[in-house]
Amino acid sequence: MFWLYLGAAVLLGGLTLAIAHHLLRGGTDVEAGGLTTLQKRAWIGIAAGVAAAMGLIAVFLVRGLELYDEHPATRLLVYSLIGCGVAIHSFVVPRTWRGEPRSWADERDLRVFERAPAVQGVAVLLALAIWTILLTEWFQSSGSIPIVFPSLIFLSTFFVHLVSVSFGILIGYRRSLREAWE
Amino acid sequence: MKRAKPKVRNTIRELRLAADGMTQQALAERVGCTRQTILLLEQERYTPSLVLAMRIARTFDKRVDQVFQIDGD
Repeated sequence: MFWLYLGAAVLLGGLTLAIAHHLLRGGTDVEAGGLTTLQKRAWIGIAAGVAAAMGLIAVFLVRGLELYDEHPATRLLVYSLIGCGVAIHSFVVPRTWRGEPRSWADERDLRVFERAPAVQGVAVLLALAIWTILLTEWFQSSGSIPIVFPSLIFLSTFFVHLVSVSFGILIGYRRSLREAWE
Repeated sequence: MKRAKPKVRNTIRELRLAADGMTQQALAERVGCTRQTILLLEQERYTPSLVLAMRIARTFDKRVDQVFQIDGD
Protein backbone atom coordinates (compact mmCIF):
# COMPACT_ATOMS: atom_id res chain seq x y z
CA MET A 1 0.00 0.00 0.00
CA PHE A 2 2.82 2.37 0.90
CA TRP A 3 4.54 1.81 -2.44
CA LEU A 4 1.25 2.38 -4.24
CA TYR A 5 0.91 5.76 -2.54
CA LEU A 6 4.55 6.56 -3.19
CA GLY A 7 4.17 5.63 -6.86
CA ALA A 8 1.06 7.76 -7.16
CA ALA A 9 2.88 10.62 -5.47
CA VAL A 10 5.83 10.38 -7.84
CA LEU A 11 3.44 10.22 -10.79
CA LEU A 12 1.67 13.32 -9.52
CA GLY A 13 5.04 14.98 -9.08
CA GLY A 14 5.98 14.17 -12.66
CA LEU A 15 2.68 15.52 -13.89
CA THR A 16 3.19 18.73 -11.89
CA LEU A 17 6.64 19.05 -13.37
CA ALA A 18 5.34 18.51 -16.91
CA ILE A 19 2.66 21.17 -16.40
CA ALA A 20 5.22 23.59 -14.93
CA HIS A 21 7.53 22.94 -17.88
CA HIS A 22 4.69 23.55 -20.31
CA LEU A 23 3.76 26.81 -18.57
CA LEU A 24 7.32 28.08 -18.35
CA ARG A 25 8.45 27.15 -21.82
CA GLY A 26 8.38 29.75 -24.52
CA GLY A 27 10.84 31.88 -22.61
CA THR A 28 13.79 33.48 -24.28
CA ASP A 29 16.08 30.52 -24.26
CA VAL A 30 13.74 27.97 -25.74
CA GLU A 31 13.49 30.28 -28.73
CA ALA A 32 17.17 31.05 -28.48
CA GLY A 33 18.12 27.48 -29.24
CA GLY A 34 18.03 25.32 -26.17
CA LEU A 35 18.23 25.73 -22.45
CA THR A 36 21.29 27.15 -20.75
CA THR A 37 23.14 24.91 -18.33
CA LEU A 38 21.79 26.90 -15.38
CA GLN A 39 18.25 26.38 -16.66
CA LYS A 40 18.83 22.64 -16.98
CA ARG A 41 20.22 22.57 -13.45
CA ALA A 42 17.19 24.49 -12.18
CA TRP A 43 14.86 21.95 -13.79
CA ILE A 44 16.75 19.09 -12.17
CA GLY A 45 16.56 20.93 -8.85
CA ILE A 46 12.81 21.34 -9.20
CA ALA A 47 12.44 17.68 -10.15
CA ALA A 48 14.38 16.67 -7.02
CA GLY A 49 12.29 19.01 -4.89
CA VAL A 50 8.96 17.88 -6.30
CA ALA A 51 9.91 14.19 -5.99
CA ALA A 52 10.96 14.64 -2.36
CA ALA A 53 7.83 16.66 -1.58
CA MET A 54 5.60 14.02 -3.17
CA GLY A 55 7.41 11.34 -1.17
CA LEU A 56 6.80 13.29 2.03
CA ILE A 57 3.12 13.69 1.22
CA ALA A 58 2.92 9.94 0.57
CA VAL A 59 4.56 9.19 3.92
CA PHE A 60 2.14 11.40 5.80
CA LEU A 61 -0.86 10.07 3.88
CA VAL A 62 0.04 6.48 4.66
CA ARG A 63 1.54 6.68 8.13
CA GLY A 64 -0.23 9.71 9.55
CA LEU A 65 0.97 12.46 11.82
CA GLU A 66 0.68 10.33 14.96
CA LEU A 67 3.23 7.86 13.67
CA TYR A 68 5.60 10.70 12.76
CA ASP A 69 5.35 11.87 16.32
CA GLU A 70 5.74 8.45 17.95
CA HIS A 71 7.64 6.27 15.50
CA PRO A 72 11.38 7.07 15.07
CA ALA A 73 11.56 5.11 11.79
CA THR A 74 8.92 7.35 10.22
CA ARG A 75 10.79 10.45 11.36
CA LEU A 76 13.96 8.98 9.90
CA LEU A 77 12.16 8.37 6.58
CA VAL A 78 10.93 11.96 6.54
CA TYR A 79 14.38 13.35 7.33
CA SER A 80 15.93 11.08 4.69
CA LEU A 81 13.54 12.30 2.02
CA ILE A 82 14.21 15.93 2.94
CA GLY A 83 17.95 15.23 3.11
CA CYS A 84 17.95 13.61 -0.36
CA GLY A 85 15.97 16.48 -1.87
CA VAL A 86 18.25 19.07 -0.28
CA ALA A 87 21.43 17.18 -1.26
CA ILE A 88 20.45 16.73 -4.91
CA HIS A 89 19.24 20.32 -5.18
CA SER A 90 22.37 21.71 -3.55
CA PHE A 91 24.53 19.60 -5.84
CA VAL A 92 22.98 20.83 -9.09
CA VAL A 93 21.95 24.40 -8.25
CA PRO A 94 24.66 26.65 -6.78
CA ARG A 95 23.83 28.06 -3.33
CA THR A 96 26.06 31.10 -3.64
CA TRP A 97 27.77 32.74 -6.54
CA ARG A 98 30.23 35.46 -5.77
CA GLY A 99 30.88 36.40 -9.35
CA GLU A 100 33.62 33.84 -9.84
CA PRO A 101 33.75 32.49 -13.38
CA ARG A 102 32.11 29.16 -14.08
CA SER A 103 32.79 27.27 -17.26
CA TRP A 104 29.09 26.69 -17.94
CA ALA A 105 27.73 30.15 -17.18
CA ASP A 106 28.16 33.75 -18.25
CA GLU A 107 27.16 37.24 -17.12
CA ARG A 108 23.53 36.80 -18.10
CA ASP A 109 23.26 33.57 -16.08
CA LEU A 110 24.84 35.35 -13.13
CA ARG A 111 22.33 38.21 -13.30
CA VAL A 112 19.43 35.74 -13.47
CA PHE A 113 20.88 33.86 -10.49
CA GLU A 114 21.29 37.08 -8.50
CA ARG A 115 17.63 37.91 -8.97
CA ALA A 116 16.31 34.48 -7.99
CA PRO A 117 16.23 35.14 -4.20
CA ALA A 118 13.34 37.57 -4.74
CA VAL A 119 11.19 34.53 -5.53
CA GLN A 120 12.49 32.77 -2.41
CA GLY A 121 11.08 35.47 -0.15
CA VAL A 122 7.64 35.27 -1.75
CA ALA A 123 7.66 31.45 -1.64
CA VAL A 124 8.56 31.35 2.06
CA LEU A 125 5.85 33.88 2.90
CA LEU A 126 3.34 31.84 0.91
CA ALA A 127 4.36 28.62 2.69
CA LEU A 128 3.97 30.27 6.09
CA ALA A 129 0.62 31.75 5.09
CA ILE A 130 -0.65 28.34 3.98
CA TRP A 131 0.53 26.73 7.23
CA THR A 132 -1.14 29.48 9.27
CA ILE A 133 -4.46 29.19 7.46
CA LEU A 134 -4.51 25.37 7.56
CA LEU A 135 -3.54 25.08 11.22
CA THR A 136 -6.01 27.76 12.23
CA GLU A 137 -8.82 26.03 10.36
CA TRP A 138 -7.94 22.53 11.60
CA PHE A 139 -7.36 23.32 15.25
CA GLN A 140 -9.65 26.27 15.78
CA SER A 141 -12.06 24.26 17.92
CA SER A 142 -9.45 22.48 20.04
CA GLY A 143 -7.60 25.70 20.79
CA SER A 144 -4.15 24.07 20.65
CA ILE A 145 -1.78 22.75 18.01
CA PRO A 146 0.05 19.39 18.35
CA ILE A 147 3.73 19.73 19.19
CA VAL A 148 4.71 17.94 15.96
CA PHE A 149 3.85 20.97 13.85
CA PRO A 150 6.64 23.44 14.72
CA SER A 151 9.30 21.09 13.36
CA LEU A 152 7.17 20.33 10.28
CA ILE A 153 6.70 24.05 9.64
CA PHE A 154 10.43 24.63 9.91
CA LEU A 155 11.36 21.67 7.67
CA SER A 156 8.81 22.52 5.00
CA THR A 157 9.73 26.22 4.99
CA PHE A 158 13.41 25.38 4.73
CA PHE A 159 12.62 23.04 1.85
CA VAL A 160 10.51 25.68 0.07
CA HIS A 161 13.27 28.25 0.62
CA LEU A 162 15.79 25.98 -1.05
CA VAL A 163 13.78 24.71 -4.01
CA SER A 164 12.21 28.08 -4.84
CA VAL A 165 15.63 29.30 -6.04
CA SER A 166 15.14 27.02 -9.05
CA PHE A 167 11.77 28.59 -9.76
CA GLY A 168 13.37 32.01 -9.42
CA ILE A 169 16.00 31.06 -11.99
CA LEU A 170 13.43 29.81 -14.51
CA ILE A 171 11.25 32.88 -14.02
CA GLY A 172 14.34 35.05 -14.46
CA TYR A 173 15.04 33.57 -17.88
CA ARG A 174 11.40 33.87 -18.86
CA ARG A 175 11.37 37.56 -17.97
CA SER A 176 13.85 38.08 -20.76
CA LEU A 177 16.66 40.02 -19.15
CA ARG A 178 17.53 42.68 -21.68
CA GLU A 179 20.57 44.36 -20.25
CA ALA A 180 23.62 43.24 -18.30
CA TRP A 181 23.27 46.14 -15.82
CA GLU A 182 19.48 46.14 -15.64
CA MET B 1 8.39 61.66 -17.61
CA LYS B 2 9.91 58.23 -18.06
CA ARG B 3 12.54 58.09 -20.77
CA ALA B 4 12.54 55.14 -23.13
CA LYS B 5 15.63 52.99 -22.82
CA PRO B 6 17.93 53.38 -25.79
CA LYS B 7 18.09 50.42 -28.13
CA VAL B 8 21.59 49.12 -28.72
CA ARG B 9 22.18 47.81 -32.21
CA ASN B 10 25.11 45.63 -33.19
CA THR B 11 26.74 44.04 -36.19
CA ILE B 12 27.88 40.83 -34.51
CA ARG B 13 26.11 38.52 -36.93
CA GLU B 14 27.58 40.24 -39.99
CA LEU B 15 31.06 40.28 -38.48
CA ARG B 16 30.81 36.65 -37.40
CA LEU B 17 29.72 35.46 -40.83
CA ALA B 18 32.43 37.56 -42.44
CA ALA B 19 35.00 35.86 -40.24
CA ASP B 20 34.97 32.65 -42.26
CA GLY B 21 31.50 31.82 -41.03
CA MET B 22 32.53 31.55 -37.41
CA THR B 23 29.87 29.64 -35.47
CA GLN B 24 28.01 31.13 -32.52
CA GLN B 25 29.53 28.46 -30.32
CA ALA B 26 33.05 29.36 -31.44
CA LEU B 27 32.44 33.04 -30.78
CA ALA B 28 30.89 32.24 -27.40
CA GLU B 29 33.95 30.23 -26.41
CA ARG B 30 36.32 32.98 -27.52
CA VAL B 31 34.57 35.74 -25.58
CA GLY B 32 33.61 33.62 -22.56
CA CYS B 33 29.84 33.47 -22.71
CA THR B 34 27.17 30.95 -23.67
CA ARG B 35 25.86 30.35 -27.18
CA GLN B 36 22.40 31.45 -26.01
CA THR B 37 23.79 34.87 -25.09
CA ILE B 38 25.41 35.26 -28.52
CA LEU B 39 22.10 34.38 -30.16
CA LEU B 40 20.22 36.93 -28.04
CA LEU B 41 22.90 39.53 -28.82
CA GLU B 42 22.53 38.93 -32.54
CA GLN B 43 18.77 39.28 -32.20
CA GLU B 44 19.41 42.56 -30.32
CA ARG B 45 17.41 41.27 -27.39
CA TYR B 46 20.23 41.59 -24.90
CA THR B 47 22.72 44.40 -24.25
CA PRO B 48 26.03 43.07 -22.95
CA SER B 49 28.25 44.37 -20.18
CA LEU B 50 31.13 46.61 -21.20
CA VAL B 51 33.58 43.75 -20.62
CA LEU B 52 31.72 41.39 -22.94
CA ALA B 53 31.25 44.14 -25.56
CA MET B 54 35.00 44.84 -25.52
CA ARG B 55 35.84 41.15 -25.82
CA ILE B 56 33.52 40.78 -28.80
CA ALA B 57 34.95 43.86 -30.50
CA ARG B 58 38.50 42.65 -29.88
CA THR B 59 37.67 39.26 -31.36
CA PHE B 60 36.75 40.92 -34.65
CA ASP B 61 39.63 43.41 -34.39
CA LYS B 62 37.21 46.34 -34.21
CA ARG B 63 36.49 49.16 -31.81
CA VAL B 64 33.44 48.81 -29.55
CA ASP B 65 31.60 51.62 -31.36
CA GLN B 66 32.16 49.84 -34.66
CA VAL B 67 30.29 46.79 -33.33
CA PHE B 68 27.70 48.42 -31.05
CA GLN B 69 25.68 51.53 -31.84
CA ILE B 70 22.98 53.27 -29.83
CA ASP B 71 19.80 53.66 -31.85
CA GLY B 72 19.23 57.28 -32.87
CA ASP B 73 22.72 58.52 -31.92
